[in-house]
Amino acid sequence: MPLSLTAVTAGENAIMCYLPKPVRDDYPLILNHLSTIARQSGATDVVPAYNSLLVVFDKKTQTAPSLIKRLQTALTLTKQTAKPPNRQRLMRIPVCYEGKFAPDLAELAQTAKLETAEVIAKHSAPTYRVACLGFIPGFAFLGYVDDAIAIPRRANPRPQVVAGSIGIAGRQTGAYPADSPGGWNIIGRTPKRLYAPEQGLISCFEIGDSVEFYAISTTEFTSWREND
Amino acid sequence: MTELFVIEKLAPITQYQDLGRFGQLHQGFSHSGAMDSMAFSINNRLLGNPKNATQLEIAPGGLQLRVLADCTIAISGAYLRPTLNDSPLINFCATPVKAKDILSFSFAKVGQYAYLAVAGGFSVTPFLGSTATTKRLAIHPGGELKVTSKLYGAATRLEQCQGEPRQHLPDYRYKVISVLPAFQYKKFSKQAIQQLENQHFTVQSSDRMGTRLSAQKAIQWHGGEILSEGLIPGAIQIPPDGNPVVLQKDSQSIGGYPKIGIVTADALSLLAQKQVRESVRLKWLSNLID
Repeated sequence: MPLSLTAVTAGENAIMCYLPKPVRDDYPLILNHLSTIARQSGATDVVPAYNSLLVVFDKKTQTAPSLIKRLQTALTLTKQTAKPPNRQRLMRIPVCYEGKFAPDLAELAQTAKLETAEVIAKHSAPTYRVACLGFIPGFAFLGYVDDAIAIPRRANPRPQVVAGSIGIAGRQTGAYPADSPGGWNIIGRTPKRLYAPEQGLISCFEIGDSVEFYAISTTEFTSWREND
Repeated sequence: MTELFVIEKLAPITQYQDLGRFGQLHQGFSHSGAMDSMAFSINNRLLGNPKNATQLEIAPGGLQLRVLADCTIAISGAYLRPTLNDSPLINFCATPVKAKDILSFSFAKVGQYAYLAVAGGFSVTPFLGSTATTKRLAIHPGGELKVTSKLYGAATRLEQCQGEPRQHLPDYRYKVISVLPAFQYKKFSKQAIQQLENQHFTVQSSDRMGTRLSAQKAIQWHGGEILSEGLIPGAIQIPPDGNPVVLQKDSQSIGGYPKIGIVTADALSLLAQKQVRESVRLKWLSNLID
């Protein structure tokens, strides 16, 4: 059955479009494609997330109905070609799951009734997909971790989570691109720089990107070079 | 570029703003920009500046500047009882200033945010296409301002200085905030939609991220959990406690609370100027949604 968009108004110059629930594995790729179409149609901002696409437009040059029509047409075409016509990127991110880099790992393992090594194996096994960006610049919400290691956000968020920290919240995982308050369960840290605006690095991720984690030791963490 | 001013006393908010940073919301960069875009726009018009020329946003008051070069300024927004060498300045009006003059801003009885514009605009290097400051994300184009910081621009003296006609000035005492149906509007109960209009709200707290309103009758949402989705300034979130939060210019870009509507752009400027404990009403501009 063809996918159809449901659109509601989001104010004087914005619309919110929804793909039908439940969220499917190919939604990030479809939303990435629809974001491109929306930008080409003159959108000033687009925010794709899970099953929705917020489109902000210039009301002097665009109207909500014509934007919705273009997006629906693009969605129908996407379905016919079976694979959304955009590039597929795979990012591989090194993670040190040891010691001070992983303050919540032991507790998570205990809750999950697993050895810490099993938690690490389960976290670094899948190829995740970027389902949503934001919260702070460069933060990617990755879906989805193995049910066995899914754990709710911490009851008391930390006032400061260190940049590079890798967390789990529910079935999502992600990396903190900069120091920030945060409630995710921290199970490791990457030495890779994810956000350095003064060097022109705004974000490593785009919605639909594939992401894998691989374990490194504390020694490898400290001797990490950015172009490794 | 000329040194135009040096900061002698800092207001808690002393930051460069333009009309906002667009095209980067998907990465989590707030739009930011002037909280009172109406007052901001009047200032640039008074000076014949480009619409987006950078200004200084000042809140809630206590700023003192020493003029370093002759130029023309305009002041708008909340009336912070500005003075030039201890003589009162007219709000929403352009004024020539001379080197060594002292420009001071006190505190407002009504409103929160004031704007200082200079003919030609302040000279600030943009970040991602905008000079807007987002303190929450440590984005400070032109550097974080502190005492002894210098403000740069072209030392332009205008031949004629005009003021904004009184009938065009925003009325910051006006209590009615216009709201459009948006987002999850249709999934709210009739009762919730009516209650948004049929009560007085008190401003519980207010900053550049959002204006939290406290309701006498809580606005209820019975639609269950929603997936996080994109947010823009003006969106009216209804958290579980039923007290609406109107998102402001530095709000986050995604969130999972249901939203009953959106405050119009002009009304958002007015709401930004409301002080804590002030009372406001929300009014649906239209109950139709297509």
